Amino acid sequence: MNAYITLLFWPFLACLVLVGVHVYFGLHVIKRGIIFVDLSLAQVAALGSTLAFFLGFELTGLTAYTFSLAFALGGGAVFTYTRWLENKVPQEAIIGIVYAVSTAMAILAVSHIPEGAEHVKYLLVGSLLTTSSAVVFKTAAVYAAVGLFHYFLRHEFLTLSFDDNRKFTKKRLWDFLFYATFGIVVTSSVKICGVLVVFAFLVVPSVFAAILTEKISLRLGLGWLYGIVCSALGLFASVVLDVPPGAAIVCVFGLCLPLAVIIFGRRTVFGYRRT
Amino acid sequence: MSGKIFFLAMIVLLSFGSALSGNIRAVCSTADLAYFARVIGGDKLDIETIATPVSDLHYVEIRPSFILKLKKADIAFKVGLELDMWMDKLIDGSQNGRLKVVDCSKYIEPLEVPTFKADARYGDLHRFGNPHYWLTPANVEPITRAVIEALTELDPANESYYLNNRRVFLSELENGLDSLKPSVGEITGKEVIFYHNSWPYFASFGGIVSAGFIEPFPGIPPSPSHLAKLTQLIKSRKIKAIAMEPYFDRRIPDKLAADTGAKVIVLYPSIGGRRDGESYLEWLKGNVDALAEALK
Repeated sequence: MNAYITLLFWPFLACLVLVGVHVYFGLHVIKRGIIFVDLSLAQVAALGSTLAFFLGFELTGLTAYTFSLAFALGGGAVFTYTRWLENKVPQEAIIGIVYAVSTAMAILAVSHIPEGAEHVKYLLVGSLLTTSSAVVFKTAAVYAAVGLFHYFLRHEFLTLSFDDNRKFTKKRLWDFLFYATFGIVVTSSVKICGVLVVFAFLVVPSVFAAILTEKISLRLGLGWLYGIVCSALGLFASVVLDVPPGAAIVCVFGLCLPLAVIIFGRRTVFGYRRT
Repeated sequence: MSGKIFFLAMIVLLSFGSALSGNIRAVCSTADLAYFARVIGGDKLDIETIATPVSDLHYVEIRPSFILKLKKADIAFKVGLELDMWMDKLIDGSQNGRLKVVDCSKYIEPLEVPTFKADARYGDLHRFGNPHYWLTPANVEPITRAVIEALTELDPANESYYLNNRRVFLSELENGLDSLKPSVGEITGKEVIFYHNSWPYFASFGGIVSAGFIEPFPGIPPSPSHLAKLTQLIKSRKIKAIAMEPYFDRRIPDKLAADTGAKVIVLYPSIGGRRDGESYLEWLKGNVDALAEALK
């Protein structure tokens, strides 16, 4: 049993770190109705490192990371700008277009690099099981910085997503700061566990929490609880069934949701105001 | 659930068993390396293999049991030349400080080492040359040399046992190759279209001319113009065989075959791919015969 604990220790800590920040962003993402923004930003970030690779830099080096970060920020700028089209087209349409085009551009960029497709695949799949302590600490530091930034400016960020923000000044700047910090988070999280797991971390706990309560702090707490429990169950399932941990985690996250809805969905719990 | 518990209990018991037997615990990244390790290590080695004989060795999905195997292992064998880079990830992930890692390409003279300055535009995967080196019997000697060197370092007491196993294997192989000569003669000098560039070593053994690849570059799907060029080439040179690995999609080779009248055959890049438990010689003969049949 000891071997299993040492095997899963760092991957589980990585999950905790990821759940911590993604559930928070998930609350915003659900409320804003921009569900696939993480897939889109992750793909844009991957396009950045692919381009660095194309230009002759190491795929895992600092230059490639800088490229991917810059691209993610660029993606954030696009989404900030297009929010002004919201009453004409849904933001999800823009997000979808950015996803499709950046994926296609990455395919074009590697189409003349031998094994290029493999390299890009690695970028988006991640490998939770081989996460090292160094990666966990580095990621935790980055997320802590992002988290503190959002904590001190919580009034602005929460008003922007959750309240009537028509009278909000400098909306564009705050929107950009939201997408920029989100881009930073996604750029590192996708490298650890891949787009699929990041999507599950972001959306599923927040949906679970939104079904149960309207109160934001309570949603955050419930989301974290859901994320931690499901991550542990997913990793456990991965070892018992000997299957890839990422896919196992996503399945557990998804399959626990109907269960939670059946148990809680038709009741008024935790002060949910029904209209 | 009780089945799973039983399964786990078996793993624990089996690992105890091997610990008690005092055998060297080896993990091999591919079925081919496992074959060579088994031939030389005989009953002194407990061998685990990561990739199946029909896996695409460029990309293997990591499962928990792989890391657990490496955690308990004494020695790990990898193909190297940046083919099985997932093995490096597994080795790192196992955090096994006493693990001896053996790069079996150590004594190989690789083909297709880029002669130009390895420009990153060409990726970094093939900067050390083509990694499918076990596909020619000429490389069995250098591969087994790397294996035996590592084993005797780890277990000097059994050096003569390992040396003897290797001697027997190499002489059997040599005799077997003589009997294979007539079939090899049928494919020598013939042109073949390959799917992926896995076969330069096999081609050099069989004297086959590789006329083109379905992938314009390794790992890159063909463009329409590339396929049109291939169709033209197959027709004008009357090429009879399109050879593919078992893990690729058949649709493109099948379409090329339908357009040109060539025949699609599956060649197995790993020992045990065609038939479970086959020997190196049987595996080689299987590929040679399949090609000879298509080229008739």
